[in-house]
Amino acid sequence: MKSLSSSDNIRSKILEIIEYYNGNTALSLIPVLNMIQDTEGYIKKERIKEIAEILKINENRIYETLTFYHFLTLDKSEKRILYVCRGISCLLEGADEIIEYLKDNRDRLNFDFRECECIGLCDFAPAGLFDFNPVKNLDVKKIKELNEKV
Amino acid sequence: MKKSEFLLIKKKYSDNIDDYIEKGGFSSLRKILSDHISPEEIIEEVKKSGLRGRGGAGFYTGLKWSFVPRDRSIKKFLICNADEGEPGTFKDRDILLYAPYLLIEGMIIASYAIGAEVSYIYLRKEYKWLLNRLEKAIGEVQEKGFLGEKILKSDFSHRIKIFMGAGAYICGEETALLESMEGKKGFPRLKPPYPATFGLFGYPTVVNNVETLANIPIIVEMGGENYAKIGIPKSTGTRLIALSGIVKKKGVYEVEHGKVTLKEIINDFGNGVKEGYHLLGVIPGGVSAPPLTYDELDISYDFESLAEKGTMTGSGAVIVFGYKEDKKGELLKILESIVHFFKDESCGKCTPCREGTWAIYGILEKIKNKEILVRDGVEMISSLNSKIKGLCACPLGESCALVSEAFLKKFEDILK
Repeated sequence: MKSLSSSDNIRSKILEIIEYYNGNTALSLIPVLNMIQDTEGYIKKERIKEIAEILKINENRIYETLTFYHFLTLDKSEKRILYVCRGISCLLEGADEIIEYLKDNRDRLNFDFRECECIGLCDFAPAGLFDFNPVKNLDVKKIKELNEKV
Repeated sequence: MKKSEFLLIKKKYSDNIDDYIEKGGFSSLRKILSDHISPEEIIEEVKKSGLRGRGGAGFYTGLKWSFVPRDRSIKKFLICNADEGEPGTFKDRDILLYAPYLLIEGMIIASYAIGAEVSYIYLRKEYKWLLNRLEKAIGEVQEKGFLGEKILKSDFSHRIKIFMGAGAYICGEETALLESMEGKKGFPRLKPPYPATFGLFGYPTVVNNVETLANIPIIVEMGGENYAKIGIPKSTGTRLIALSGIVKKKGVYEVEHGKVTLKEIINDFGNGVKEGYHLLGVIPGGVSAPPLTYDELDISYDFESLAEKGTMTGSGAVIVFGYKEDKKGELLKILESIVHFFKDESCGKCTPCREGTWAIYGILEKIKNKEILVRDGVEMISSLNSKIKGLCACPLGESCALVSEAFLKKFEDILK
């Protein structure tokens, strides 16, 4: 049996989301964008056309929405992403030093890193999200370990 | 002071549905449906309880519900706001993790009270790791017959769906949240009309914070009047505090409103300040709340006491700050981080906020580079705020100005 191509797969996932939201296409837009971002790592032009056609939402409107949100991107990241929190509680625990270290060693990292605002892990500061999973009490040792694992 | 971590909500913490039911879980919902308690009676109980929103603004929950039109032919929605993005806040996370059934029961009761057939949990993307857990919990509640068609053989049917955001602080503001759910940018709406009459896709909608909803089954169980005896007038019940910063023991603690001071929160719950740190002050309710200095910490933690001091309990995020050893300069970094947050998260809809937050950031740069005095900075920000305050769709820009002005004023000696 022929396996589903990735495009068919995305299409069927879009339809599933619309069904989950009882056919409400406006309500489905951000969940659809999230799904594509999480599956493909970014939202490419062809996908926007495809979403526009399925959801019957103007392409410009889709651009307008997706460029507003931090975690939706038009650019492809070749690597997995570590979000490092620069919020006040993480800063008080030395997040700036972690960010400095990551910047200095960017070339040696097997993952990409981005700064972000508070992620609600202040009791484990400094904290981050790797593939949207919590990384608690970040330090250089943990970053090195993560780098070897990836 | 009562140093109990298990007052109301934490007593109901359970991440196992059978255990939750054993602890009396879903008995409030059962009572409502079997005794045919009317939606109006529930709203009345919530009003009597004096419950105020735990998301930040502190609006009376029962009153908010009562604004929803009673006409049964109109579709209505309940939305659980799980978009806590105020820096320093992580208390709703613990409810989602350790008490999902309590929250779900609260959502079902609230939906019954306002007449909503569908409710949504707006979950912030930062909490994506909680998504499966929540979906599983909703499924389990459905299996036990507390959700779905004709709940417990009554006439009431209800479904809960999850909607995940995509990263935007402003979407915690209820009207921006609605815009976001409608597939748009998270731009706050001009009010009125309020969501209770014109909400999601124009239908009457109630948006309540996670912790607010988690209080509902407890209020139904105890009765509004008894609930109101906990805490103090105008600040009833308990509060989940997210304690972080330079304390030894960070975490989520439950305190009775008006019975605990900020100093006690730091010392008794947080085990005091970490070695080698100088305590300067506390941000009592997330970064939108102006800070209190070291001398002001003998203050009771409740809505009114903090309001008298020009600040607020806000989102319940208590951030204890100071500096390490002799690095006084750290303080400006803290303020910079706060203003950086506001300028990044200003949605851009209203010019005074969009431009104002950047201007404030520029003023801080000037102070840092010693181009202007701290005092001049205070004046400049204050004058800027007169052009922001009350002229925007939401208080983001105004908070940025107020907080930075208070910081500079209160800590002028250290900053100069």
